[in-house]
Amino acid sequence: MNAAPVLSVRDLKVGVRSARGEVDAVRGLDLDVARGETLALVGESGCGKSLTALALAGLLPDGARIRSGTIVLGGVSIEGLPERRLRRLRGQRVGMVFQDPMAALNPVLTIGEQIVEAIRAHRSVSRAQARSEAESLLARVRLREGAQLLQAFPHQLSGGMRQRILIAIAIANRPDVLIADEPTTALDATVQAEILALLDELRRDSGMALVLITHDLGLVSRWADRVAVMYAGRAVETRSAATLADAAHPYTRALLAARPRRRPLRGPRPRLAEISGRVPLPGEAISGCAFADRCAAMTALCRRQAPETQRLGDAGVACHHPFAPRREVALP
Amino acid sequence: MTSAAPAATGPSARPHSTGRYVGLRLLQMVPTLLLILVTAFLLLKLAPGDAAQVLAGDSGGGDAAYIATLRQRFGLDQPIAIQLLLYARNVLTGELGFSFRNNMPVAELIAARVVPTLLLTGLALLVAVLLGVAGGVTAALTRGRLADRLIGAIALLLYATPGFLLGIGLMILFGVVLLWLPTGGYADANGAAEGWAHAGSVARHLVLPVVTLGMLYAAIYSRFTRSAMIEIYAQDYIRTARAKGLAPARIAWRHGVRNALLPLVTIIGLQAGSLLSGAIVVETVFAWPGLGRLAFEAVQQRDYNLLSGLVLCTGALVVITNLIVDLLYATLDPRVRLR
Repeated sequence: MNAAPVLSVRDLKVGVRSARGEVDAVRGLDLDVARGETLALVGESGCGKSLTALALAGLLPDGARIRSGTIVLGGVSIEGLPERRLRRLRGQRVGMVFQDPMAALNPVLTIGEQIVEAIRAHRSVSRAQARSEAESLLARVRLREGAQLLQAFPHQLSGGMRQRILIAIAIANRPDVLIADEPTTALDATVQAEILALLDELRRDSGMALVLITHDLGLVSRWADRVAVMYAGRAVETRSAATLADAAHPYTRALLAARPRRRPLRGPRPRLAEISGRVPLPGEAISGCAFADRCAAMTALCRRQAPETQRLGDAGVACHHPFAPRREVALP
Repeated sequence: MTSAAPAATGPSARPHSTGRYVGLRLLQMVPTLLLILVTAFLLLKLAPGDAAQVLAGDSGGGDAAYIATLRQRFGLDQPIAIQLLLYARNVLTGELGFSFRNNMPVAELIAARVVPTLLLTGLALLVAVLLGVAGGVTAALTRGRLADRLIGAIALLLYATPGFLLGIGLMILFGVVLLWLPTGGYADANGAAEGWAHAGSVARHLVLPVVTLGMLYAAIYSRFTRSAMIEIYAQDYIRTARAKGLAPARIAWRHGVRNALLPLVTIIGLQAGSLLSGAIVVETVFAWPGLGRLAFEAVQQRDYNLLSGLVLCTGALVVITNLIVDLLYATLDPRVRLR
């Protein structure tokens, strides 16, 4: 990356209160997102990607908090900012789109009311002006008959339409960063591609950065510029999405191998590859590399010492024994 | 929900159905009102003796022939179904019978008491909703902290205190010790004040009964609002509201309270009857000339004509309240449609 990143995260730790006291679900995450780029944040369930998203938007739920680390947004560190200033960042500098569009809109307010209040929370424009802005926002997310749609209530609309409206709300104040947390998981397959294409188009037109959080590696090469693979609360590999097939971290390789493939024309469907073992639970003590137990390349060093992130070409890899480019995938 | 058919149930579906909703709701009231009518009629029939005997007794006793004539005149010799129809006809023309104890037509007795009762219960409901919502919202937003616990303790105390005890306590404190407010009655007896003076006098007499009746319901509503708000704050749309960068007060009001009103309105409708019977105690304690005290006296004096008239009247009040609540609910919740 040449330009200064619009979003920069260093050694982020997010603690979650649990029965065993406060445990870290994000354990030292480093991320950089450049202006106008799409970063895919990929990982299994429980790797801390959603908590990371919420932490970036300042929306951590009760019981979770940022324990340490820095988040720098557009050159401003959000650490120690008073709640008033944080609120100004939310919705203005950072927009957020969530997983379940069916539940994310208030059922008793019209679409218009919900978009207008997002605009007027950050800019002192008249109601009428905000309304006409809302209408053009609906056009930007490719929804037709905006004027009529503003009068509608969420229950009258489909999931795909609601997600478009939530995207319209998220971009209402032209944020620098749009965080989309599994934005298509709850939608039909056909609608999924449309929503991703829309997000991509909006990013290109506005120059905002897009953080696309997903568990689906299949989306990465098509929609992302770069990918960060998370495991047990850390980014184990960060690289260009174009070179994903050359992944250096054994975990990334294993994830790639575990993707479902198309059924061959002849013969039985091949059994899905899987990664044996399980993800360490949040708070579980980890000595050495978190992936060691499940890794074929594991050595005594991996047990002893957590790997530092090293540069390999354009990639950052936290592994003692990274794959060299173009090597075959070896699974245990 | 599918994403396939967005246009079919377009945003325009709503306005057409509003008028039909009201109409259907009104239609649905009819069977309920009929049931109340039959109940009131049966109450009259179950009472020992009938109107003819009472009348005969009133005129110093009479022979069997005289009673039979009376029965014939009032239709009491007809089969019970015909009597029910006659009763229904009377009710529909506003004829509710005669209260021999009060020596007045029942309709007149009730008409004189409706306004004070509506004044008392209406204001008590207003106080209960305002205090209950304010307390419940505060408790939910300060969950687990001092304010929450304090509000919870006060609500429990109020809820556990019998209405008459709270009433007498307030009466002694503000009416006897501090002499701030009158201890009972509807208005000052001396000098028939007119206009604003009269209204002011009524208002001062209203304070203690309204507070007494309202507090119990404020306690219930505050607990209810608290749990509704806590549930709503776990919803995704609250997270969306926070992601917009809205101020906490705006989130609480526009996204929290606005949605918490839905279950609250339902509860208010369900408790309309209980509010009226709660008024019996309060009206008796504060000598408030309302329907509740009238009913209490009617029971004591076994005034069946009056009692059945009261059953009809309060029954109709509850049905009307529920109609209002339903319409309110439909206004508050755009998803509501009559199936």
